[in-house]
Amino acid sequence: MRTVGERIARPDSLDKVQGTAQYVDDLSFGAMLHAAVVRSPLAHGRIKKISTAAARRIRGVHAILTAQDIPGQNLIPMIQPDQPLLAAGEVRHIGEAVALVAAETKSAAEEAARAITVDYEALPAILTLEEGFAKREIVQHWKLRRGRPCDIFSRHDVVVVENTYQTPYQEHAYIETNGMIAVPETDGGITVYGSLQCPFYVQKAVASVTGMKMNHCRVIQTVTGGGFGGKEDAPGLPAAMVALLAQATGRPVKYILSREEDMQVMSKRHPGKIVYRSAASHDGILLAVDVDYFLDAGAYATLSPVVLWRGINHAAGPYRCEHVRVDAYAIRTHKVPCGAFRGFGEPQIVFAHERQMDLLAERIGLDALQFREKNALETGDHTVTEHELKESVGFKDTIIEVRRASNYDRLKLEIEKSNGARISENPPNPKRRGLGWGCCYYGVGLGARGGYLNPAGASVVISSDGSVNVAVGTTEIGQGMITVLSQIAADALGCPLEFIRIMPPDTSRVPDSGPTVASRTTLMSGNAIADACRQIKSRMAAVCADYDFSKIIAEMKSQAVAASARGETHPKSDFHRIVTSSYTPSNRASGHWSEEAWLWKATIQRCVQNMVQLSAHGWAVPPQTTYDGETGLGDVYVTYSYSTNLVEVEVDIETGETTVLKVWTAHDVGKAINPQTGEGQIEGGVVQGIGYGLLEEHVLATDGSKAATRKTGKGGPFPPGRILNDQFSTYIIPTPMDIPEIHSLIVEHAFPYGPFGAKGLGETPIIAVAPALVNAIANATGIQLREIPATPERVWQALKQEASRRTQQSPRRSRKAASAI
Amino acid sequence: MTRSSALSTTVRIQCHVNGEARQLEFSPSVRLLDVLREELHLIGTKEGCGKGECGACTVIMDGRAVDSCLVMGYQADGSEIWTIEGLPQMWEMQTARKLHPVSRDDHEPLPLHPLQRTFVECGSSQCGICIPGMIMSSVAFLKENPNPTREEIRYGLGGNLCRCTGYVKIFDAVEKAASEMRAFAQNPSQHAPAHQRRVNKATPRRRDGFVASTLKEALKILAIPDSPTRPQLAGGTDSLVRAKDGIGQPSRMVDISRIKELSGIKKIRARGKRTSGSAYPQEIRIGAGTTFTEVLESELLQKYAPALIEACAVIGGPQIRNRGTLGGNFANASPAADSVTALMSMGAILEIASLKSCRQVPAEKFFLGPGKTVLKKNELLVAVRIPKIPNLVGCYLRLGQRRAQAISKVDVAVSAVLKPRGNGSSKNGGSLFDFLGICYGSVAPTIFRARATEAVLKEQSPNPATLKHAKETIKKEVQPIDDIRSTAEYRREMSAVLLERALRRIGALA
Ligand SMILES: Cc1cc2nc3c(=O)[nH]c(=O)nc-3n(C[C@H](O)[C@H](O)[C@H](O)COP(=O)(O)OP(=O)(O)OC[C@H]3O[C@@H](n4cnc5c(N)ncnc54)[C@H](O)[C@@H]3O)c2cc1C
Ligand code: FES
Ligand code: FES
Repeated sequence: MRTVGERIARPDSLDKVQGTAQYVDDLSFGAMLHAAVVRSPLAHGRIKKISTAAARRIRGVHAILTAQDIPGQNLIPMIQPDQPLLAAGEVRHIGEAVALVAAETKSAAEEAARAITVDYEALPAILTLEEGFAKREIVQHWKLRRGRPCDIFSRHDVVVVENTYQTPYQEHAYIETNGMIAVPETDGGITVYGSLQCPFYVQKAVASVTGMKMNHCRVIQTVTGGGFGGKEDAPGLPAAMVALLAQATGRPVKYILSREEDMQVMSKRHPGKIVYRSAASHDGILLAVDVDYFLDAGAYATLSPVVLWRGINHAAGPYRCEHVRVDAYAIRTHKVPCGAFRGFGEPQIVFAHERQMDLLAERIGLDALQFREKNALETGDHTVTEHELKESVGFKDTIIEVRRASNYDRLKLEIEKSNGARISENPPNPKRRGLGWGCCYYGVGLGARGGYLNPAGASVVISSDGSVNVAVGTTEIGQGMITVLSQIAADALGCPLEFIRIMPPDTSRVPDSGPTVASRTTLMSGNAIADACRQIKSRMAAVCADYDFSKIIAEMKSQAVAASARGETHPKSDFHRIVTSSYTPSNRASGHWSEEAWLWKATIQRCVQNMVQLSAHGWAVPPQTTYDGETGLGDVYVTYSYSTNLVEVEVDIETGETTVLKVWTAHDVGKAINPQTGEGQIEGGVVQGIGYGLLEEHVLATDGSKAATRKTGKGGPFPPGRILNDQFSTYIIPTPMDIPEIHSLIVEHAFPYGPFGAKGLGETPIIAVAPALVNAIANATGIQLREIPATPERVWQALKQEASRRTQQSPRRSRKAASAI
Repeated sequence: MTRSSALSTTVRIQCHVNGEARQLEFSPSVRLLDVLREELHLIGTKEGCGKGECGACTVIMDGRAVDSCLVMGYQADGSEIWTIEGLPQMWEMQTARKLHPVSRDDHEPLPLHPLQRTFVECGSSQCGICIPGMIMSSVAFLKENPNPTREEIRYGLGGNLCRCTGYVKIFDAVEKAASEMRAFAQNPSQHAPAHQRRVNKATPRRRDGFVASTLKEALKILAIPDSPTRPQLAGGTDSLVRAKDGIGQPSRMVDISRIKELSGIKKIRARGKRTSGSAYPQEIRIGAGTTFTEVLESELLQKYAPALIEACAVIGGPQIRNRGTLGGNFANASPAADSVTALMSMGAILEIASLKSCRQVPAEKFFLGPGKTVLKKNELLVAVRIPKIPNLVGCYLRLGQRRAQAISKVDVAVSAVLKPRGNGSSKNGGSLFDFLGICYGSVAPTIFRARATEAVLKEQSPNPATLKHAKETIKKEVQPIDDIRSTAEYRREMSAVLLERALRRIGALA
């Protein structure tokens, strides 16, 4: 039976609905200690003195560590070697770790952390992107040069639109906060269990600070309660902390961050600023873009260089554009380091280019959709980096699908009519409806800058009863990896799905397979599994081809019946048995195996008897990519996923409130291995995108004044740069009451190199939602926002400005008219 | 429950968890969430925030969904609690396929609860951390509303956040399970009488220590000048959130939520002359311990307190409404206390008691500033009284940051009795007011009654000119600030917008 393309229920969901799935906070080990962290209250300062004497006297305290106690390197190894685990001499952002405590209980650890006093000398802090740029605090600068944009912009026969856009911090807001447990092993090694996305990053961080060899630092991912990029590199810090404490005390140590701590100190989506100039011809051809793109990296580089790199590679959107100049900068400031977040440097710049597309279309006098269609990338076109698209370009089909499903042309007329009617109602109805488009594409995988991180490995081991263990180095973080990889393994081996078990990721089982990011998991781990399965299958074929299995099967069946009569029950973990309502005790007797399953079991039995090696390591290396650092040109990714969104909103022009009514969202994913998990990714991403566009932002204290204190209703006063909204009642994400009707549409333009034609899907859903929302608000009300989130306050301000602009304009216009007469 | 020693290092309770009687002993500073996870190893109940904001810790306590992070362990004494682990058992009992609890050595696992199964079938879980809470909330509201619309499902899950799924497939699963469960309930042959049978509650015993069972007991504790414990815990939806921020120690609080005298909603004969409007012969007395959910379920209040019903309907999410009380909403004295705005608009009177005396204070006079009230250390709020006015109309409107689990940025309650304009013609628009109360929340240091605006509207019927005047007046009457939720300017302008909308809603404008 082929499972690829089927709506297979997720095997991991059974534990989740029963409450038996074990997340890191659900684990405990004998004699386990608890950690607490002393963190900097200042954005920038010099540490003068750390006094730990009082804390050491607290009952139950076992270890207090500062930078000088680190046996290895005080360094979290990432792209640039700049981030210490514990501040040494200088603190560079609020919440930076200064000291670690391990104690018998969590409350003793926290009490001790409070009892540690640190004397600081405050230093001037850079808190804005602009200030950082002025001081040349540049973490990374990338360039993109194509064609001759200057020539285009100096022409008189083109339409030019220029704007500056601002995008906010976005919090991952995974419902499970970060957490780690380190367990010392008898041979001197350390095993770290935790909530994470990238076991190999965590392994490197642990090895770096403990000074141990990498093979002594074993990292096992526990069931992870959401990642979205937030558990990519950042978990290396808490992991390194518990590892150090475990090393110092010889006991297991657990550290679970509180929600507030997680929001204050863990990574976020970079705030962005985009100065964007575009030119198009009067007949609607996008000719040139000229862009300065800034991201606020925070105090340390972490992943900022590559986040920025993805942004620049998609700077003009999924459109043909031959003349391009982009300069992209990641700026160092004294704020929390930002990192990976679903979309990875794209949502910021996509917000800008999709607003620009609407404004250009309006100036040219084209419908926003028509203008996009006219410039849409197709097979044979070149991307902004001059990557020739030879295959699997489904962008136009995503537009067509959305247009069809939404009945766009009729809907547009209907909305215009209804808005007209609302204005003339008595009293006038303050609600205006509007439609907005947002499109994007996404280079799948790490691309040319990914280097050695690109390949992925897998190990496949078949047991004598036919069950299969599959180990990969990428992780399940809710996105459905277990399901999708199970399907790929089952189909590649030709065995029923219920025989497959995807093992919890463990660095000791598979070679470094790079990170679980960039929508690369299905593609890379899927190909690695397929590679391993191919090796095993060919060995199996040698003894099984043309063999008649009916005798073995009959024998096995009668053995099963006999065993059942003796009262031997079938193992409990059978997923399908429990969820399938047709299951009855009577078909349990025969193990309720299908004929297909019996054949598989028989095949394996024969292979075992013939001493066939039923295991293999698979390895996947992506096709060649290229990149030229000077021009920024090259075939930078292996392929691209495409997406189109249309949203319908209703804006209350008196209060500025926006209600999202409907979203149509189409994605070219190559091949949907499992349409159900695919839709789940789309729906989840769209709702995060709605949060990004309408609700979510961090508010930082600008000065230590009372006003800032009053804002939160918590103690204070807070030093400049401190995040004021660090809990779910002040950092606002969408609830079940806030979501629209979502129509997910899947388009399949197979990618030949992908497993069964699949590309990646994880990220496109979030990327182009915010601009679609703001475009729809513009369509409904005429206001042109350049900043998100489009909160009621911002919309209302803009409406007010627009109204006063109009009243100022109209007398002038009438005066002009008068003089003309 | 007993405090087991003078130092009260541990507390002992009895309760039923997932159908099994339990005797538990633990520290008075632990929450129900910790008791479930650490004492009983029921790890399916998750912690996402510890402040009632995410719903990951939702369990069913005495038939209602609650956030177990906002319930102290000692408050569970005598309760019946269900967690995600108990759902197959709960379903088994409801469907009465077996009348006795399954014996432990039966290896056959019970079938999943329909909600658990449909969550698997519909692909509703991704990372899964929110899922136990989602399912527990669904179980609770399907019990009240077995045939919900999509909109009702959204409302029923308003207290649960999920960051992965976008909720769509969660709604699908709830819809699907609901229809299966209805089909089951409609089939009487499978519907054994045991369906309604609940597990026996732990025998009520005299409780002392952490739970006050009578008003007198609570007031006695309050009367001790330096008592180590204080009656401070009603629903806990404010005080335990503060405790998480390090303000106040739950191990020194006393639960007042079980006090009989603080519950109940009933009609009474009016006492004394009312301070506002004409005197009404009848009043409604609402115990200070009444939860928002109880308000919403009261037919009396549905009929006579429209503004209060609308206000309570938008507070928090279901778990918060199931625990939070009117008394706590007043005593906490937040400028964004939604039920207070509504009650004050009806001219509510508060009954306050100490061991020695009782007094009555109009709601309007109760607040001294943010977080400050006229309550003395030895006093408790006992009840809220509102006039029972036959033809009262009212409404409550608010702007929040989102549609559930939101704190108001500005809110207004209007309660009124409309008198048709003289000679029966309504051509000039509007009506005159026989009684009018307009209150605002979140736009001043305390919730307040907009007397100046009321005066503008009361003296003349609201025609376009008066309406304009009233809107100008309210903009002067409010004293909003910039804070993390909104700006002063926006709040000021919205006060006027909401005023017009509220008047229109109650039919006071043509
Ligand atoms: C997630 C969340 C969302 C919320 N949303 C809203 C909302 O939308 N609107 C809103 O108005 N509120 C909201 N709240 C706040 C809270 O639910 C209400 O203020 C509620 O009324 C508090 O009641 P309680 O019984 O839980 O108070 P508790 O926390 O038990 O007590 C609060 C304070 O009042 C005192 N107190 C309680 N009862 C009495 C009494 N009878 N006499 C004297 N003192 C007493 C206590 O000593 C304590 O100091 C929300 C809270 C949370 C956690
Ligand atoms: S843990 Fe979030 S509501 Fe209880
Ligand atoms: S499934 Fe991850 S938070 Fe809901």
